[in-house]
Amino acid sequence: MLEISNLTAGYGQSMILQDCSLSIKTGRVSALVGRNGMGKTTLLKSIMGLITPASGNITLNGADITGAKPHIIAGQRIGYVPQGREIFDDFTVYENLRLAAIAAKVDLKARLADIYHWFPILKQRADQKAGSFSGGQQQILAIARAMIAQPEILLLDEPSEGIQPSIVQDIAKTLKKISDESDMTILLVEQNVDMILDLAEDIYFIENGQIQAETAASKLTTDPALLHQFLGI
Amino acid sequence: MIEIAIPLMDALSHVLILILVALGLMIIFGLMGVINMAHGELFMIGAYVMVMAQQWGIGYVGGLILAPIIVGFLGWVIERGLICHIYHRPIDTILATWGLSIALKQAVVLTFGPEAQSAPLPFDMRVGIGVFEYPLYRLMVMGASILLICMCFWVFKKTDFGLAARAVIARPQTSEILGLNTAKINRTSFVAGAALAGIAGALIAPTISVDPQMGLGYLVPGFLSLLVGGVGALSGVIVGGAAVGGSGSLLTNWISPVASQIVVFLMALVIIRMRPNGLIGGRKK
Amino acid sequence: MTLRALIPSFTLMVILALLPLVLNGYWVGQLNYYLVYGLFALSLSVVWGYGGILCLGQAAFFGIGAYVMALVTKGMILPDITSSLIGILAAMIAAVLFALVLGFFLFAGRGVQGAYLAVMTIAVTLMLERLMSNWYALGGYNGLLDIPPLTLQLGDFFYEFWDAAPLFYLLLTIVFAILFALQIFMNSRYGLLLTALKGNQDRLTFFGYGILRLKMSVFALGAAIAGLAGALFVTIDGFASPTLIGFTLSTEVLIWVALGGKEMLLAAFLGAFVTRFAEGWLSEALDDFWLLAIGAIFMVSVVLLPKGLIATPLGKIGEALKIRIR
Repeated sequence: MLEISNLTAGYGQSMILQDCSLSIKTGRVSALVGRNGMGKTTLLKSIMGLITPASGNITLNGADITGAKPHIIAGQRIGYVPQGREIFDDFTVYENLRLAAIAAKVDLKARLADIYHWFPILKQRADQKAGSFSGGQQQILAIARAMIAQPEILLLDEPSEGIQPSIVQDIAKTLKKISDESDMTILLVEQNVDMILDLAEDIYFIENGQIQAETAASKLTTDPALLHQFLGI
Repeated sequence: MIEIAIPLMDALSHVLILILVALGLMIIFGLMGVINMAHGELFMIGAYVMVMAQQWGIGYVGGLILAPIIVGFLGWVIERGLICHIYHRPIDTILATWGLSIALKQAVVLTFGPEAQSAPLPFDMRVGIGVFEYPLYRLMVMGASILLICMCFWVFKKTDFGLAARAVIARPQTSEILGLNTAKINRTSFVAGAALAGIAGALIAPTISVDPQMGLGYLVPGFLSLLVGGVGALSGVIVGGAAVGGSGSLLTNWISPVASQIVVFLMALVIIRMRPNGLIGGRKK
Repeated sequence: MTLRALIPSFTLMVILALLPLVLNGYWVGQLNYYLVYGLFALSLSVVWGYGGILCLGQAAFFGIGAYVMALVTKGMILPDITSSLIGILAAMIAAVLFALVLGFFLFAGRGVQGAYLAVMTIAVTLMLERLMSNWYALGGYNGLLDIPPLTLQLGDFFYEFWDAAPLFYLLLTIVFAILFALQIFMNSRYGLLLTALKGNQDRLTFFGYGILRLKMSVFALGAAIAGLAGALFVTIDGFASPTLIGFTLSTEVLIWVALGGKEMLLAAFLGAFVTRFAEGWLSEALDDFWLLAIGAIFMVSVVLLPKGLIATPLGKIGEALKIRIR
């Protein structure tokens, strides 16, 4: 279980997260929902160790990982798909996956079967330069790259951003399938309502650096008031 | 034919050593954005190790083995003690390594004296094809340089470490969140770059006079090669080294060494200015 | 800017002015060198600390000033015109012209920055050093000897600055006049523009300021001061050699300015003055260890006190006095 307690974090002097607490239930898909600047990305970056929190704690299965180096946290089997995908443009698709395997110290060949099963397009285009991919394909590669390490928890930062709706649906479907087939925990940061409703089970609303409300996704479809309140739609 | 062959061979051997120096600079600059002004001194210390090895009686081969080890270790100390504190301040790395360069030079003066030293050639026969004759040792240095250059390419292009290093160059933060220990990769690369300078110095030592000030004569052409060729692609170093070292060496056949050096520097400055990404580069930055 | 901000520099000037009363002739002569080196350090502080241009070849301008001054006052250009004043003007103009040409080459269009600039300026200074070493009409490796001291001629009045003490007060006046002028100038709108240039070039373009013009102007201003320092130097030393234009001096001035504090003119001046003084005083005792010590101190100061060893405490003093020391 990933537990965030009383976290205050931000950039320089400006603290974006203010005393933020949240626990992510194991094996489920949680979505963190809120408008821009409310602290969603800051929270993910703090979990990954890219931002050192000013105060508060982050624990994974009881072990404190607050302030650890990102590669140590990644080694605790937390996968991260950053905003903007950040794939290696000059590498081929295969090299992107190979790098992830080197970084995670896992056997690439053993993992490729799973990866290619979920994302067949990557097998077809294994030797293509990742930079030549469309946004959606790059997103798929970024998710696959994070999946190489067989993470216990996958953090996704706005996977639908700048991607055409049909592919967003595909990605949601695949992630749903992965989540159903494995016991992987997913924490999704998202503003795209379709993606949230398609994928998430638990929903947390964040505003002004704190979790303001939480609900089950099933309730949202009948009562979308929270979505209106926290996404302004 | 013969009158052009010898200068060409001389130029080639100069170019190869320059490429080794520039490769070390490139690994360190490309990976970490660190301008290592003390790289020339690492090269110089490599040459001193060769001189000393022969005086200590462990011979040429001993020197050749010892040089990259000692200079590589020195690189490790430098990385841990100095560079790792100022990664995020690239301009300050220029200053700090400049201070280091002065200190290293002076440390060598204090230990071995300011005067030039020489290392004996391990063998001084010449080989010839017809009328064309060339010192065997120089041929060996060229062969060894080519081997080392190929090795660098192989490591960078084919191995896991090379892939990881290229990833760190392209996206340091993303590499880190995938689980790569980028600090360790940087350190390893710095040590490798230093060791490369050390072995280059050791290889060249028997053919030149070794003195504490020799580093600068390789540092600046090395940097110009790097910038002329283009930062980022290893092949750029080869093109840059060939352009800077080759033209400099060949020009001395017609004009004075000083004039040729001035011409080469001018040419390099103009190329760097006109093509900021270098002769090879062009895609990035 | 209030005059209060000039108080620290003024205090220093008064202290320096009293020194010849307690020092013997040899040391006053040495002080003259330190003043000129301090002036040279000011030039790099302007270019690097205020203009954000890391020039690793600042001695190029110093050397050009030195050679032009030597040529004029030795009558090697025009045998009849050997006045110090004309020599100094010519020296400064030559340095400025070179700076404008070099500056245009470096900064026009998408200009060169950072590491590229550093390497390119080193290459320039090395080139000039090699050139002068082999330009036999200008003395080649041996340089130009017997350069006359500064002279002052007003009508029939003629004075030659032979003795150390009068020369000291002349140099003190020149150097501090320039220091005060720069401190005031850097506090003006121009200084503000330079700060903006260092901070965010794009925004400056957005507001319609010519970055090229700004960079070239600060580069030329630095060159003028460096050229003046070079010109004054040869009149003290009587000797212009390729080392004045080359790599080693470029290194030294960089170290003085970085050790002192590049973003504070007074600190940069003191960086040169104190380092040179310490060298004159200690180098005999420390001998070859001096350079080792300087290299090591420089490394440590870059890592731990990047603002400078002198500027950091001076800044604190300024805060206490509620003034901004430039």
